[in-house]
Amino acid sequence: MTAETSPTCLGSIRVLELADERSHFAGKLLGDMGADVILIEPPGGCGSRRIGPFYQDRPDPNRSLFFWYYNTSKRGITLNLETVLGRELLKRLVSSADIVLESFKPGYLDSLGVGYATLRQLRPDLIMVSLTDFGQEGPWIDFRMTDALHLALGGPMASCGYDEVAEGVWDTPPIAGQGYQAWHLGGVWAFMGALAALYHRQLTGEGQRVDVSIHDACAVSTENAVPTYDFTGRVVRRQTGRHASAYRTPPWQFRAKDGEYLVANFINVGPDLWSRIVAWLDSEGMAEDLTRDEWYLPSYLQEHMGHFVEVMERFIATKTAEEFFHQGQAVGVVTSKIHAPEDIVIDHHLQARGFWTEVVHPELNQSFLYPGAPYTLSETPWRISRRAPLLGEHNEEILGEELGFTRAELTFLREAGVI
Amino acid sequence: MSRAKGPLAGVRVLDFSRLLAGAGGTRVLANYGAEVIRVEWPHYPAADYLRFSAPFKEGQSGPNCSGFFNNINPDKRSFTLNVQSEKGKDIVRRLVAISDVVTENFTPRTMKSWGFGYDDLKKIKPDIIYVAESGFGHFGPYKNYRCYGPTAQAYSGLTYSVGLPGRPPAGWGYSYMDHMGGWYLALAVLLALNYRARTGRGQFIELGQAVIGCTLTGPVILDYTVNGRKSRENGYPPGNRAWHPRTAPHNTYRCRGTDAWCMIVCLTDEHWQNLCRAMGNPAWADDPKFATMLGRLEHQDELDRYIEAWTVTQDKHDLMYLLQRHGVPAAAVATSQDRLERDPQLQARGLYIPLNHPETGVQRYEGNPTHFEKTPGQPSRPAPRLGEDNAYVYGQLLHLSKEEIAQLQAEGVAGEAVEPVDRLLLDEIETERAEGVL
Repeated sequence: MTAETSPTCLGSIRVLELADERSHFAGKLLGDMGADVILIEPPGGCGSRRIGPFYQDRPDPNRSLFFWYYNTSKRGITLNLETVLGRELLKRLVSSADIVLESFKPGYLDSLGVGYATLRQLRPDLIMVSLTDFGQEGPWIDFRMTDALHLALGGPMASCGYDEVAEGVWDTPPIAGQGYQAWHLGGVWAFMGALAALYHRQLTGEGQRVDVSIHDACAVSTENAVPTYDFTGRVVRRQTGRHASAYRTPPWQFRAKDGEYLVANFINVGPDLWSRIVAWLDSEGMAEDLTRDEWYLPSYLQEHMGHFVEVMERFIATKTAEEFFHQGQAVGVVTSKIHAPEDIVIDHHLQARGFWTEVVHPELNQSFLYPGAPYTLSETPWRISRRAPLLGEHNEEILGEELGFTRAELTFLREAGVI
Repeated sequence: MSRAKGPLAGVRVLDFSRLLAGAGGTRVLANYGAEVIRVEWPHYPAADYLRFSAPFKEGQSGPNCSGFFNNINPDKRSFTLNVQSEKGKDIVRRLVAISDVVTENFTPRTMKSWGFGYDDLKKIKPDIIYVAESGFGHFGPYKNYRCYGPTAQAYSGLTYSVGLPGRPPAGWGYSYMDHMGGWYLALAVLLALNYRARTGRGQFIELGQAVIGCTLTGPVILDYTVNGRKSRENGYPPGNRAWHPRTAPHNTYRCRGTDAWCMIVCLTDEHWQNLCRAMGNPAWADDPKFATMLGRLEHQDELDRYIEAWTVTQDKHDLMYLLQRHGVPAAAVATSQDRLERDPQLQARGLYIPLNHPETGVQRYEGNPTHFEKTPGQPSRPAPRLGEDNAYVYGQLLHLSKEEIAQLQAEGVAGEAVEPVDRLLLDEIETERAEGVL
C-alpha cells in the first residue's frame, strides 16, 4: 500500500484553524495525519506570513518559509471575522467542523459573538481547542509574549547557557533556544488535548472545550528542575552543553579534531562497556592509566570522572566528530556529533529511512525537501498532502463549491472586505 | 471514587517504557484516565533507572523515593515481573490479551528477543496498538545506536540551536527530547486509539527520539533545502537575539541581584516607543539612529548596553510588570524557585498539584497544560511504589490465588509484595474470591 492509497488516521475529521503562529504547529500535526484542516486567515493574511526567511529572500505573503513549514496539509481561506458576514460564514463552516483550533486572546471570539458558547449551539458535539499564551484565565493573560519570552518565563531558558566563571558568577546570560520551541511545546499539548477529546467524543458523542496554556507547556518541560527545588530547596544551575544541576558536574561536550563538537555521556558504564571503551583507547595508544583495574568499578569511575574526561578530551581531539560518533556508537558509547540543523540533510540514517519528503509547489514549478515523518504508523502513514496554502487559495473551493456561493457573490464578499 | 472519568477511561496500557522518554508519555495517558500498568523488574539493579535518580529528600533513598521518578509516574500502577522467565512471558501474554495498548522504549531488538514483537502480540490480541519508541527508530542504519536526550538533541541540530555567536554550543540544560519523545509516544497512542475507535483496527507505530528532533528545526532546514543557505555560515544561533522576525532590541538583560535576568523584545516601533517611556525617555534614546528598526538592528550592541545600564538596578519581576504595563513584551527569566513561588499565573492555573506519597510525603507534581471542560486530565494519585499493584495485577486481573502468587515470588518470577497495602488488598481479593465476586 502506498501512502497515497492508505487510509488516513484522522480520516474525515474537519478542523478549522483560526490561526496565528501559535496554532500552526498543532494544525500541521493534525493535517499531516489526514485531518481536513482549513486555515482561516484575515483577508491580509496571518502575521506568520511575514516571518522570514523567504523563498529567494524576497518577502511576500506566499514565500515565508516559516509559514510553509508549519502549514503543510492545510487548505486556506480568508475571512474577516470583524464583519457580520464574515462571522456568518464562520458559523456555516462550524456546523460542518469537528474541531475548532484557535489561538486568539481570551475573550476575543466571545466579544465578536462567535465564542464557544455560540458555536456549540451550531454543532453540539464540537471540540474547541484554545491554545493561548497563558490559558483562558489568570493574572498574566494580557501579557505580550513571543516564543523566546515564553522560554524565559516558563523556565527552559534558566537551565540553558554556559558555565559560571566563579562560584555564583556568570559572564553570560541564560540562553533561549532558537527554533520556536515554545510554539512546539504548546502545539504538541494542543494536539494531545484535541486527540483525547476526539477519542472521548467517539465513545460518548460528547464534545468539549480544551483550554491549553503555552506557559504551562514550557513550565512542565524542564525535567527535574521543579522536583529538585521541591525536594531539596536547591535551584539547578546552567552549565555548558550539559544538564543544569544543583551541583557542578563534569563536561559531556567535547571538541573534536575538526573543530566540531560532540556529546558523549558516560553514565551507567558497567564493566562490559568499560572494557570495550578502554580496549578502544588502548588500541590507539591513548588509554593512559585507564587500563588499571580499579577503573572497572563504576563507583571509582564516578569518583574520578574528572580525570576520565580529561583522557577522553585528548582522545577525542585525535578524531573528527563524525568519526567519534560512529566509532563510539560501535563500541557502545552514547554519543552523537553536534550537527547544525542542515547537516542532517545528508545524513545516511535519515536518507535510508526516507525521512526527507518532497513537497511540490506548483505555483513555482518546483519541489523542495521538507523534514518528514516524526512517527511511522503501519496502517495510516504520516503524509504531507499539500504545500501550505497561498493566501485565499481555497476561497472558491470551500466558499463557492461547498457553501454554494456564486462567483458573483464571492466577488461581492471580496469587495466588501469579508474574504 | 466519585470523580468523573478521564477522556481515556476504559483504555488499558501495558507499559514497558522507562525513563522520561517513555514514562513521560504514558504519564499523560494515565492522567487522562487510561489504566497504565508499569511492567517492572523485581530486582533493583535492573529496575527503571529513574527510580534511583536525584532528587531525594534528606535521609531518603530506595526505589520509591526519587522526586524525579515520582513526578513522571503519577496515576500509574506498578507490578514486578521477570519477563525473561518462561512463566513471566506467559504472564505478559495473558496481560496483552486483556490490554488495548503496549508501549515500550527499549532498543529495537529487545522486545523481539523476548518474543514480544508486534507480530507476536498481534496473534494474541489482533487489534493491539503497539507503540515502540527508541533513540533512532526501529529501522535505518543507526537503529541500534544508543541514545539519551542529549544525544537526540545533538544529532538533530537542537543542541546547536542554543548558544552565543563565537562560542561552543550551550545546548539544552535538560533532556528536552526526552520530554518531546515521551509526548510523541502519547500522541502516537492517541492517534492509534482514534483510528481503532473508528475502524476496529490496531497498528504498530515506531518513533525515534532523534528523528522527532529533526522535525523541530523546520524553517532553518528549509532555508537550506530551498534557499541553499547554511545556518552555520550565517551567525546561527544568534544567542538571545532574534533570528526571524529580525528585530531589536531583543535580548536578555542583567537585573539587580545574583544571576537575575529579564528578557525584553520590541517587535514594532510602538513597542520601542513604549520602552522609551517606561525608561523615562532617556536622552540617549532620542538619537536618530535608534528611531527605526533598521537603525536599532544596526546599532544593537550599543542599544543593549544602554538598556542594561537601566535594567541592572531593578528587580527582574518588577521590571517585567513595569514593561508589560507599558505595552512592552518582556519576561523575567524564571528559575524553578520562581515558578513555584513567584508565578501567580501558574498558581491560578493550579499547575502544581500536591499529592501525598506514602514514603516521601507531599510532593508538588507538575500538572498538564490541557484543561478539559468535561473530562478530568490531571494527576490525582502519586507514583506507584515498585510492585505496589502486584496484588491487583496477579490477583484481580489474572485471577491467581495467593498461593500461586507466593509460588511465583519464590521462583523469582514475581517480585516481593509491597507492605502493607499489598497485603490488605490481597486479603480483600481472597475475600472477593471466596464470595464468588472474582
